Amino acid sequence: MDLKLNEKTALVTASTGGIGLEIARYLAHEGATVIINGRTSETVARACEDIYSRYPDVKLLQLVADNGSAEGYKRTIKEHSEIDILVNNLGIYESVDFFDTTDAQWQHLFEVNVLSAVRLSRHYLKRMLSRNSGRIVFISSESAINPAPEMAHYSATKLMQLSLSRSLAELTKGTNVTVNTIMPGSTKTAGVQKFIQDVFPGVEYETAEKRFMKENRPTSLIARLIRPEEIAAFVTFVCSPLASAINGTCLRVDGGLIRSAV
Amino acid sequence: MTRKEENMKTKDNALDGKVAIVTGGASGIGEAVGKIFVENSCKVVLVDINRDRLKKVVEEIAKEGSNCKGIYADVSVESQVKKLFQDVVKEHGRVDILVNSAGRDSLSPPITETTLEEWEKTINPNLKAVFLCCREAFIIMEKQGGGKIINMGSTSAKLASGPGHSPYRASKHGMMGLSKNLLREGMDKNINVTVINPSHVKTPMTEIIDKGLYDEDIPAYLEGWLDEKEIREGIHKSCIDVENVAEIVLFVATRDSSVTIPQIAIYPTHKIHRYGMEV
Repeated sequence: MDLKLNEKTALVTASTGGIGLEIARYLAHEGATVIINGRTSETVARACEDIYSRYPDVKLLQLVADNGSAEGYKRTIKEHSEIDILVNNLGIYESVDFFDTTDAQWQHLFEVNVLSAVRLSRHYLKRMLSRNSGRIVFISSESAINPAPEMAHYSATKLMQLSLSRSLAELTKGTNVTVNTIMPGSTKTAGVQKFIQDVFPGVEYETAEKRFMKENRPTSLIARLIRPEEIAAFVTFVCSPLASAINGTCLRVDGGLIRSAV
Repeated sequence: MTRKEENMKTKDNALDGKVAIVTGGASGIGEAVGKIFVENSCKVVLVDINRDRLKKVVEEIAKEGSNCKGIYADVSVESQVKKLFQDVVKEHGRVDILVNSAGRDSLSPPITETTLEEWEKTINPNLKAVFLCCREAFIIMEKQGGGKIINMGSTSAKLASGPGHSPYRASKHGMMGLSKNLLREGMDKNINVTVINPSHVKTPMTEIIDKGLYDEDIPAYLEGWLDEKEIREGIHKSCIDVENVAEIVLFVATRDSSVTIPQIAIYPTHKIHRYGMEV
């Protein structure tokens, strides 16, 4: 299938690792020019090398900017004023007891997980609408509708993304621009692997993952962590002009984790 | 070998060690500039949106020992311009000369009939692209201690004599304004900016004008504007050759940086009367 991404430019925020890197790799492999974004030039360069090592002919641009801050946002739009695809992938989480979570921690999570996407969308969506072409994709989490009490602030920001995404989609009425949210389930990133290993210290990783899924994610139908490329392939399709009828919706790539018929 | 070709051969190494980016390099003036630069030992990167023609031109130019490469890019798209300059710097480490030659003519009718689409289709490659390329060139040239930017204008950058044609003339006037401003911005950075304003050059672009004018009837709004010879033979036939323009680009590119040539106008001798005292 030709996803017709050849002439498109995509910005994937926080694309130096995890799901973001994989989305960037897939978009680039499908022919899009991809802006690799991270907070340091070292991580951005390393991510580019990682993608080039598998696909030497892809088109990558480097953007060193912390989009979790207003300053980083300003740098982003200064360097790249026009893009066709925005993947709001930047997000952070931390496991903290609700009663110990401070105002500052709540505000920081809001700033990085929600306000970063608000700022970028404010700039890029306007241009997409005037060009009558574009894609915005939010990378949320199943935690949005399946909140995790040990990460109440994280879960809340992930649900906010769903609301924001639908609000922005309403603004695209009658245009060729779409705004959607993807809700991945627990995904096998370096961070999650470390988290699982920490939960089961001394247990071999494969066994630890099986135990984690059985004990902590019992509703998962695939009964394993999702591989980042499984998220990336779907996100890439949603970014394609072929996905023109998918708009204003929330799409689950959660391995069946959420027990719901629709 | 024609006289023109002989002339070119005499210049040899004038650009030895230099790296040039030439936009619109797959045809017309850009192609001719690419050729003369390569003949003068310059490392040349030709940029174009016409992949097939670009490949063909690069194959023609890239003779043994010469350094010429084609990069496909739409220079009116910000990300593609950034990628282009990034790739050239990665390969050659520098950019000494930028020739903005990409552009399109617009046979647009009077303003009441001109669509916004036509406006944008002309302004984007002729003005926005020049801005985008100059911006990247300035970043690199400032770091390396200088460079030369040569923008291909047109008589239409200074004159607006005929009916219709507003998007094209506006784009070229705009490019002139941008270039004038960059003269000052480049002053302390050892970056020289020159606009070359040719009139009536024999290129695929002017050929298209002829086709537009002569395959069908001459549009009513142009009546009385073209002279009889042009109506009879087509504009293209009475145009000057691209090599004449390329030689002047080479001349500008090889000047010492202590001298700036803001503008050069070029006219076919037999048309000089058309422009009178405004030349």
